[in-house]
Amino acid sequence: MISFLVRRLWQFLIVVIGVITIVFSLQHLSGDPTNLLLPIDAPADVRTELRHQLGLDQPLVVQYFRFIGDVVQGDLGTSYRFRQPALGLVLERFPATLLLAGASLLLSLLVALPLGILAAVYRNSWIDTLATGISLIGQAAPVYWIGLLFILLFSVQLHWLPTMGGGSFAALIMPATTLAFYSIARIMRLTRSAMLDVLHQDYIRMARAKGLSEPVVLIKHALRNAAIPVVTIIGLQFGGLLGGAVITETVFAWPGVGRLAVNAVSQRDFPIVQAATVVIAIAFSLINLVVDLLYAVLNPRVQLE
Amino acid sequence: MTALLDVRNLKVSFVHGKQSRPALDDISLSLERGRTLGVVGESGCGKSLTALSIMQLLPSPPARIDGGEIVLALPGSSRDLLKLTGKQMRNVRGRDIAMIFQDPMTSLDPVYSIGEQIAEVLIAHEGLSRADALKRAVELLRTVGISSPEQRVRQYPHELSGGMRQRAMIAIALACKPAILIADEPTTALDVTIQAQVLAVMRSMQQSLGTALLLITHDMGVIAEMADEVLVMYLGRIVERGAATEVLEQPAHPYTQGLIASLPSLDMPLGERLVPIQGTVPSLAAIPSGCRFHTRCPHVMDICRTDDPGMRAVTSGHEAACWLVGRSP
Amino acid sequence: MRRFLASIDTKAAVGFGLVAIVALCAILAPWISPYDPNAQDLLNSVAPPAWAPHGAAGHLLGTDRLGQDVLSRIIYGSRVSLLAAFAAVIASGAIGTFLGLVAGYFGGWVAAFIMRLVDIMLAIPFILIALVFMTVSGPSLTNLVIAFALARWVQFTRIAYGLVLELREREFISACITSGVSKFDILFRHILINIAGPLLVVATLELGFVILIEAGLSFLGLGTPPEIPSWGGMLQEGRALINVAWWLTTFPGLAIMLTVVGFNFIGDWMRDSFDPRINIGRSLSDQVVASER
Repeated sequence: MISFLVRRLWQFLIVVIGVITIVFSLQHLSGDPTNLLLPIDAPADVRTELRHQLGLDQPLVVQYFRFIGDVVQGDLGTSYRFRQPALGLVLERFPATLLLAGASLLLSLLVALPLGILAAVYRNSWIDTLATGISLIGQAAPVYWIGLLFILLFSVQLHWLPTMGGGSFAALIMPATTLAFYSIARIMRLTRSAMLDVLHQDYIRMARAKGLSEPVVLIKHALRNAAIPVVTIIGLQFGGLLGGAVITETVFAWPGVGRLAVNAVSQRDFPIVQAATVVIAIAFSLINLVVDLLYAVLNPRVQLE
Repeated sequence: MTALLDVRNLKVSFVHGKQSRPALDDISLSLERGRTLGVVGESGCGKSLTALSIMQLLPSPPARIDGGEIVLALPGSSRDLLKLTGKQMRNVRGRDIAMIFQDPMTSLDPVYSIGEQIAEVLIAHEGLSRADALKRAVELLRTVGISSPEQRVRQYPHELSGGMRQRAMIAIALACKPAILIADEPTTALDVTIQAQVLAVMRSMQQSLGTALLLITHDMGVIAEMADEVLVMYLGRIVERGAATEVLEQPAHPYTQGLIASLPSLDMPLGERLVPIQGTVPSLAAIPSGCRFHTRCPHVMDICRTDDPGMRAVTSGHEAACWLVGRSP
Repeated sequence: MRRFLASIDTKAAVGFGLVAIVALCAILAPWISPYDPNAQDLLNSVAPPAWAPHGAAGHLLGTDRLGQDVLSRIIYGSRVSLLAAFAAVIASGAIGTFLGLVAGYFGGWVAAFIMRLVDIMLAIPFILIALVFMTVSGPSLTNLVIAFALARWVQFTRIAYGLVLELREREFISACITSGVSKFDILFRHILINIAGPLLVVATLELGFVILIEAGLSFLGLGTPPEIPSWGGMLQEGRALINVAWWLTTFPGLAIMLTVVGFNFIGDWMRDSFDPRINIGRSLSDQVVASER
């Protein structure tokens, strides 16, 4: 178990360094980064001066290590637009994004898990059909469209919920539900198929042969085994939620990292986009780490490796 | 001796859409205290189905029980299992009738220790606390011959060998000292040397607890080793029944003769070929007319194609469903 | 082949049908579109669909702010979506499959390096990669396709690598090696043919994903420029006018959803077709039960 933990931590570190490297490469992919900062017709000596200032006239390798050093110290550049450290700006808004993604995940689990289990236990019933229908729409409908439809219905037509803003709980409902659609679809689908698989296993028949009551068979044996693949996907879904939050925040003007990043793109404010990417990638990797540990706890066969 | 379990005229069919196929036709058998009844036949003949029917573990949309009675006669009560409610049947399973299955690796839940899986039977049926149940589990592991039971009880199924897993299954089955144990191909998935050990464990448990054993297998050797009486099944029917020694030494039904003849034996002269039963088992959708076995029978006569023989007495206590029985050979 | 065609059930048929409609729209747009998508009719701007109250006659799905016909723009919008989808998937699929084959063939540290790279890319939600890339190179459809090629190859590599590992162990590969077939040949003819099926499944599902992302980025103003009719761009306008023009939101979104549903159905059907279920050694009751699933 300890060796498993150590190995996973090592993997986590590699991924973090990798993410930073990729961001670094993308930064330099387009050629001269000063193009991001200066108008095209800026005089050459101004350009040279800026390049020297930013350390761009040094060999790439040196720049890379300088970059890593900066990142480790928490310096992910300064926003061109806000003239403040990018990391600070991102971290300021990160809790809002986490809140949105977290609320969505919670909602997804509350809906998808029972629905998936019931759809498996009562195969081909109306519950199964409803669940399949939801999963269809959830996986195909664009999250921004669902968001707009929600706004259309609940704000414009019914005037129940506020269209934008991030203050209140009421403002959280629509974006969280919108974002949750896709997750509900995926998690429910997997829960259903995992349960179906498990319910056909011999040990379930054995549990019934022992005369155990049906709830015990379903929860203690079936669900416990079905949980193993489901837990893995929950971690992955959170990554998807963080990504989906980017667009959802824009639809609902939710004050999170996503909206900040999207605005930054049109302003070509690279440090913000860079900082947002690094922060989100690290958050996602951490979550995956936790999920992997949870998986090892749930599945005794892994512990021996 | 009074029968502990009396199956009378059990009929089961598989329903698929509008069609139904008869899977078990008029099965009758009885189990007695301390005795072993072997059920033998090729795959698909309905042996496992009979066992699952007794336990009421049939998957209910495709399978349907069309008739018959399964009477469980314990001291103080005699009930038809087919008439019990779900809850009542659950009380019977694991406590009065227990079952072990062919593959212990897949029949044990991989996420719980074997101790927990033994304990849950005790907790469910005898109301023991978890601590007491686990202690009993250790003792049960000891009685089935698993060494270092105190350590083993915490181990997971994938940490045990095949033979140990099967012994653990036996421990689970016999935890509540059931009157009847049904064993569905208990040794098929095991190595030959382990087979003998597991059978020995089953026999010794049977002797100490007086359990009636319904032993299902396709292996005649296991029958020879363990069974007091034997039933031979073919295409959902019983084609021969009698005392094990008699049926094995003097099989009356051509199918039984074929099963025994197709076994290799160390006494066979070198160069002698194995004699398989010709043909293959017909599907349930196309059951032959008359005697079901006539399409593969080396002694088939005209009457076999048209008329079903029914069970005919060979000697007292030994019957076979064959027109040849009662005629001079 | 016949077995393939026989296995097309309702769901798959619906999938093929939807995709066929979209494809036909894209190919036949100039002939089937009622109006020029950029033809402005300022007298009829922001008009409801013809069948709705106060609807503008002749505009089946209404008009937008510039009086452009929504139905026509949706038909033409299919071109952007399908073009982006196929370009992106072909690019990422080619790169991904190649790297998967390389990793499977060489093994050792090459495979380890590639798979590490896969892990790293998977840690970053794709939309952020697209945003980073577009910040640097400017927002455009071409850049989206490039970003896709740079990032989504991992989906193909994962599957390809796993399959190559499995196949390597199989006996027919050893048979090839011992009979002197060159390793290059093995890789490209035998292995590739065998892994093509599951990879096609991934590709089909990725097509749906690209369409969603492309529309999303256009919705954010970072994809196709607004003059070119695109479903995402139409949704952007829909958002601005959401208080007054529900049809500008509903129909483009519906188009996106139905297209993605179509690709998902096809992908699901392909996945089921490529997954043979073997019935040897199962008892009758098992077979009956299994056939019901």
